[in-house]
Amino acid sequence: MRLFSIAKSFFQSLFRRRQVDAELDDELRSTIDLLADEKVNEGMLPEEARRAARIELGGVEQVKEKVRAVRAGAWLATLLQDVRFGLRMLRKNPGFTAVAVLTLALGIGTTASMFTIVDGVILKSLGYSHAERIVTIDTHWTDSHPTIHSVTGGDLEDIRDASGCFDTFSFYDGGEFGVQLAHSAEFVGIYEVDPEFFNVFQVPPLAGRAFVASDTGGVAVVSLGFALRNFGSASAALGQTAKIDTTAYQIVGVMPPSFQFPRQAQMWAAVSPVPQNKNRTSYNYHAIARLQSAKSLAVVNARLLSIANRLAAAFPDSNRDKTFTAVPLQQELGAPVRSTLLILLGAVGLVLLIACANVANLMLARSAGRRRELALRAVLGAGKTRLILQLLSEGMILALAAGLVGIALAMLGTRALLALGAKFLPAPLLGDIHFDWRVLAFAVAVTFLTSILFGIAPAYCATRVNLQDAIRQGGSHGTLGASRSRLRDSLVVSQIALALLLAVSATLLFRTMLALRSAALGYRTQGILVAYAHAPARTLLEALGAGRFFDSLFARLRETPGVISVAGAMGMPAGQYGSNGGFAIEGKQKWCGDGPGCDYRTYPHAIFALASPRYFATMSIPLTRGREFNDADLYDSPFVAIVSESLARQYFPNEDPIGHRIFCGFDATGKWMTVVGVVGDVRQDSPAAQPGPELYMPVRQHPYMGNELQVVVRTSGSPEALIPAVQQTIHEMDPDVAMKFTTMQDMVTDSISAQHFRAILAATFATLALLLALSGMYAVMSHVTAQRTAEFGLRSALGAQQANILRLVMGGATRLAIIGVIAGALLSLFAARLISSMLFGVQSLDAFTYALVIAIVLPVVVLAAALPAWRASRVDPMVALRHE
Amino acid sequence: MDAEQTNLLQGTLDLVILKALALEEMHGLGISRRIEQITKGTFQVKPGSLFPALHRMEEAGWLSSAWGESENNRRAKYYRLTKTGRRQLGAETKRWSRVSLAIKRALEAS
Repeated sequence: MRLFSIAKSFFQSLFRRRQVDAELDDELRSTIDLLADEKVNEGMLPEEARRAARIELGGVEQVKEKVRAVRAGAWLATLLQDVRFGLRMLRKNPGFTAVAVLTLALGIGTTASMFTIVDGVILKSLGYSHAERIVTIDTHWTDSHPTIHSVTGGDLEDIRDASGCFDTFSFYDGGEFGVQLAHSAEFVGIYEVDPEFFNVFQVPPLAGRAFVASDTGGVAVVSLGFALRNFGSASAALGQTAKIDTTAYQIVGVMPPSFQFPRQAQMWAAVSPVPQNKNRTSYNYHAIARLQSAKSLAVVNARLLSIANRLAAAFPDSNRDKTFTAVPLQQELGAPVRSTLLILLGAVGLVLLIACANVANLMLARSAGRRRELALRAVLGAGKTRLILQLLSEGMILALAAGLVGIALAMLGTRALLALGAKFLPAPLLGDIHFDWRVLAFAVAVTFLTSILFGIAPAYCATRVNLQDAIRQGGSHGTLGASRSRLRDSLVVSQIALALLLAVSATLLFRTMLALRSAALGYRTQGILVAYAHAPARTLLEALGAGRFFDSLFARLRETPGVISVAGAMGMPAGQYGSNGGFAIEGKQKWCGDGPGCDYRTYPHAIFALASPRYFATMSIPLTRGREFNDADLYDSPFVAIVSESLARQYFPNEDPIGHRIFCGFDATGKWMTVVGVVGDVRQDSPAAQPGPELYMPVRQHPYMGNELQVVVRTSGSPEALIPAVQQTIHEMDPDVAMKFTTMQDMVTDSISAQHFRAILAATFATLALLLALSGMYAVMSHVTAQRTAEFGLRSALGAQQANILRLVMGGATRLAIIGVIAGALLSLFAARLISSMLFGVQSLDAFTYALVIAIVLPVVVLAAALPAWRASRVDPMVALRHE
Repeated sequence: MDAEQTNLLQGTLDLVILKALALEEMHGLGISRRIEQITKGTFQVKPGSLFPALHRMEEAGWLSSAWGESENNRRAKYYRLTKTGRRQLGAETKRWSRVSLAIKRALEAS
């Protein structure tokens, strides 16, 4: 019964509103009639009685409004009415609507696209079943040693066999190498994995099969892309043979394109679950495992700690202070970019806040102009809640429109971000970054949040309207309410402050990038083509042959027109490969490698690289003492080495390193090497790296490491133009050599992709913020001056000069700008500390940056007020006064 | 009693309206007069409170309404108690007696 009558009333107030209202009208009219009758009976004249009856009933409209308000569904009817009204108001002011929608859409769009990236990298779980149970195992030390994201073969076996915490446990190792097919060779990501590998991820192959326990060599699984490129289809790839370093692998399966692990993998070759290198000092293996469902991460890590303690006691030389931690795969993959992404999301949130403040200000300005309308509605019986709801629903309509445009912008923005971050974002996660319902939900939530954020201030002000004043003052020409203008001023001030904060941070990040671009790298980047080339070799004989091949390749390339010089290296700066480790100086340290008797960690440490003759000259790395490597430094000649100035300074203080002998565990063919030269320092990993000790060895004396080289070709022209010639030469000499090309310039750019990503985005957001703050200032000043037209007219009628009025308006704007800038500078101090670890070549408290930003922001913001001020000063006193 | 005070006593207003309608059906003004009469002028229910209350109670299913003729041949909307309304009156009356007795005791306690 009750439910039915509510439903009926709900239905009626929605669809039969007019009838219901008419009936209510009848009821009230009949009540007036009855009242009048009563009064006539008491002796009043009929006219008089009707008047008295009306007065006793009170306002008919108010009573009706109160009755409507108690009906079920009343809120919905009200809402619909408000929405209709809101739409009408917005249509009547297309300029305001367009500016507000666009401003908000920019804020929502940028926020949503940044969220898409953050969601894909940090929040969304990986696309594997129970992905949260997939972990990798890191090695770290209880003393200051840095964490290594891999484990040694020896430790790996102990962890696998003793932990009892894993459903499946696997390891992998690899990178980019050459693979030889029947008629071609490709340079692709190749990983050696143990047979359990695919079971960890539980991703079935697209065609063929994954590995089984008996697959311990000779079989491989390839990516769909690889299969399509080389064989035409997935099924055509099955049964085909591919060779890596002369070992043949039969392709037994093809993985779907969604499976992208590890980075850039296109071929997974099965190896024995028994690690080839079982020592406890070479961190060759990446362990990956699936936790048992009953085991929490804490339990697993406690177990790993006890294994580590046992190993530390059993093998103190290699395992003292060493421990292991299981880290969820997603966390491990996202770790390098996490802080950058979160900071950028914060920055974009600030842009959104500024956009909200902007729209709030626009609405405030407009609601000031609508005071008479609102007051009239209040007099006609609209309650405060009703007025607030009406303003909020206007805001909601704006936000919805902005949300739609913003979502479209976010789709474009995400694409732009992905293009910008292609080198920076973790490759295995790129597939997870796309616009989906999660982003949509986020955008919708942000939209509603913004509508409340910018709608609340105008609504609050609407409730404080003094009805009589509002109506008497005649709408928009009245004097400005003090509290309203203070609110608007503080919105402008906070916009300027936030924009300044973003501008300071962006400038710091941008200067970091400029500093990296102009950093003295220690080598040349112009005019250098780099060819990664892999000559297949496994045995010593084959490897020595590869060495001879490269030497004759260098000779052929030197004859190519346009080539100035050619050399080869393994472990170039900013390149993909590198090696480092401990070494011993004859007479200073005893060398026992990883055997017992020496503490591995007490050796001096250096970066290892191989170089061919003429490498230093080609790269313009200065030779400061001794000689370069030459064609006589071969496998059967006395072993030699060249050290960097840092190494010489650090480990040979006050003596000449030349003639001293050094031993290192770089490869199996280790011998004592005589130092023959000293070369300048280079920044190895990227321009952001500090130059450090580096040990160079001749390519030909380390054949096992020398069959994959970076061929360095220096030219007077554009390096890219040489690619076809070099490619053809290599192919003619040996079609089995796989290669890929890049330039030194690109390698350097790629190595600072993080700084690039940060700088470009921060600069974009800061520019956006500044533009919004500018338009905020402009909007407020034009509104203020418009409202004071009469006052200005009066002033100039009373003899004020144009300059006086200009000064009056500009003075107000300057005051706001200065307060905003001071607040922003203070906030920037905190923001800059947040990003201090991302800076290079500039301090977080860099005075020049602050001065520069303030010197740009302050005048620009003040100038935004100039146009309205100028307009105000030119007002004709007669027009202005008549205006009233 | 002014509107603000009636608002404070919304439960009371419902109770007196139910009570006023207990004997016979009545139109809005009649209910208002009846309440004045049975409370000996303590409650004067203004239309601004009466009509919203009537519509709310009708929606709750306690009252039903129909158009009819008044004593002096005027068309008027008449309200009457439904079965639910009568039950509500009983329940409210009991609750109110309990509350007023308790308050009385509380005030008389030394």
